[in-house]
Amino acid sequence: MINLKSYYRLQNFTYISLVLLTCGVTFFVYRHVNISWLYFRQAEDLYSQKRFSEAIEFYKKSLEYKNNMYLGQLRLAESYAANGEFANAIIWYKLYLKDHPSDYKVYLALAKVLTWNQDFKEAEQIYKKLLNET
Amino acid sequence: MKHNKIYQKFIPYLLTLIFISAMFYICVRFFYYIISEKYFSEKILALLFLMAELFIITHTIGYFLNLRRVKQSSSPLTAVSLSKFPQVAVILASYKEPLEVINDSLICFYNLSYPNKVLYLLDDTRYDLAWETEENKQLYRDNLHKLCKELGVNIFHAKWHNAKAGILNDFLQFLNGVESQDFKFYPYGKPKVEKEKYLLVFDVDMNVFPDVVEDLVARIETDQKAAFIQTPQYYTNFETNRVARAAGLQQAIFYEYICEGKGLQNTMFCCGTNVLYRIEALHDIGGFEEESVTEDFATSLNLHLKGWNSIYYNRVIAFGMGPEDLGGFFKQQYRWAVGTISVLKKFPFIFFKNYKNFSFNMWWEYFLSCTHYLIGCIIFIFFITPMLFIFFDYPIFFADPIVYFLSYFPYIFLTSIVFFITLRERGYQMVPLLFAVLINTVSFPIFIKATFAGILGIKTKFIVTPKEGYHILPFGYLLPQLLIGLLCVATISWGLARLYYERELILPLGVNIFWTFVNFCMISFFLYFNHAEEVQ
Repeated sequence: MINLKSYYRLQNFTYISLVLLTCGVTFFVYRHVNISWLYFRQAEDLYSQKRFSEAIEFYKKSLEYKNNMYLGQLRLAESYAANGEFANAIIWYKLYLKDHPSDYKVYLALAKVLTWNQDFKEAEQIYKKLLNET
Repeated sequence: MKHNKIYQKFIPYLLTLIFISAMFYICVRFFYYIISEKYFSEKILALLFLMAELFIITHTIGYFLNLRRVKQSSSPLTAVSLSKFPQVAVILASYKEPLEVINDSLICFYNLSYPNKVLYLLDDTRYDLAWETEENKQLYRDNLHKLCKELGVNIFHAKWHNAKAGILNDFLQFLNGVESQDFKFYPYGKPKVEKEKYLLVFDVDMNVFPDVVEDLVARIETDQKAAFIQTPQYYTNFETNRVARAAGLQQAIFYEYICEGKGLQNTMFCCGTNVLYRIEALHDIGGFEEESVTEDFATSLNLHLKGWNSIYYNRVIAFGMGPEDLGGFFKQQYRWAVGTISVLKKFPFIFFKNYKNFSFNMWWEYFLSCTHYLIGCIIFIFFITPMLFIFFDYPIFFADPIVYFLSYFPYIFLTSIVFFITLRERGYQMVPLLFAVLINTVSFPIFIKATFAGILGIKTKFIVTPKEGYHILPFGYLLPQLLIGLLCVATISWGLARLYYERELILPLGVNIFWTFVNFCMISFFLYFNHAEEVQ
């Protein structure tokens, strides 16, 4: 026959263990579900502080977990551009524009970056396209 | 003493303030709900939450209305001086109860000082069923008869049907001279000299005081239309048992101002034990209601509908044993809840058929009594709504935080203060009273189950079978409480993670995390109650 006190203690211990386990699992699930978004927010903080090279790392991490996060792609392109890494900025702008072909503001930003990157021919094409379509 | 007088002077004003604050709060809540520009689909849960609040406020107002009636009442219960003593049948209803328990109760019966009483044991034990062994059955029966013979207590046994209400009705017929092959009577006591006028009913574990019968008869004799006089139940095992103590205090809240208030409005219902019935009234309504598992409540309604009165007498006339573990408590609460809810199901029909028979106050009191056990669903709503907000941002509350605080605070502050002060006046301390609230919270799955069973008319058998000798329920029986507790933990963790990482909606998240934490603390008391034996 099991001692009642021991049985009661066992129940308490089980409950406390389950509570702690639930805490841990919930935090883990929260991070897992929201990790891309959490990195993105961190990157946004750094971006607003104009710490672009650090922001780039967090945007990249964010996109690793959720590669179709369009705002992340755009921000990454802007961060590259602000950091003077025009070639990378062009890649990410183009990637973004693939899915958002009518976002003319971003076309304009791309054209600017192409100009800074001395890619005048492509920049001219975009400016002409913008003049024709808007 | 001076302080007490000042306080007594202020009570009516405080009660008025409570009604105003409750009305103000609910109006504010409805106002914000109506003007909210959210879509209806988003407002459904908020409406559910609002209805739950309305339920609580309705019952709170009901409680304080009774309190006000009791405080304003100037006519104490009267008693006549008895020149002759009408015959009283004192009965103990037993279903295979331990002989030691029956022995104690019957000795108390034996000591009753009332001169014109006949003692009966209504033995409802199922001898027609198989027991562990045939010898055990025979031994139990022999010992029971030996005991009753020694103490001069008559035994009445009938063919089993419809539990306690069944044997009580058979006994009423027997008293009325009806003879049946199903009735077995063993006249071990003194023969009756006249027809019994009253029936004093006790549950088997009740130990009655010697002088109570004359006291009860003297009071019921003041009103020839009084069908019964109910007295409170009092548990003796509260010092060493957590469940019994909480259950006793839960009973105390009911038996103090609520019952006194009901008594003043002629809406007191009988509670199955410690009650003196007028036999004529029971015959008038055709006996006890056998369809309900709480035959006492349903019978009371029938008596009131037939124009009979009821009396509540707040004097402890017997000591009993409260449920000693959660299993026992759940079983008791489940039975009461199913019985009451099954009356609620019929309530609209009864109301439309008999609305002229009762005053508004009587209907109001019966409405409150019938709906009390819906509390399980209400507690569940209070548990899940903050969870839905924290996990899914599902809106449950529409109010400006400052307006909410200004409207809620006076209401909750005044109700809590007056509730605890008025019960303290009767000798109850605040902290133990909180345990009565906690055991109610822990029982919420039982109330929900009973609500469905009562409404759908499902005859469920609630069996708690912990391992032999155990008074601790295994987690398997406490799964809803356990799951809700863990869900609260998950919600709090999720909410804290949101606060830390998102840093948005800080106030709404904070408030919901706070309430979920309160809920978690409350539900976690299932562990405390599950170890019913008090740690010395």
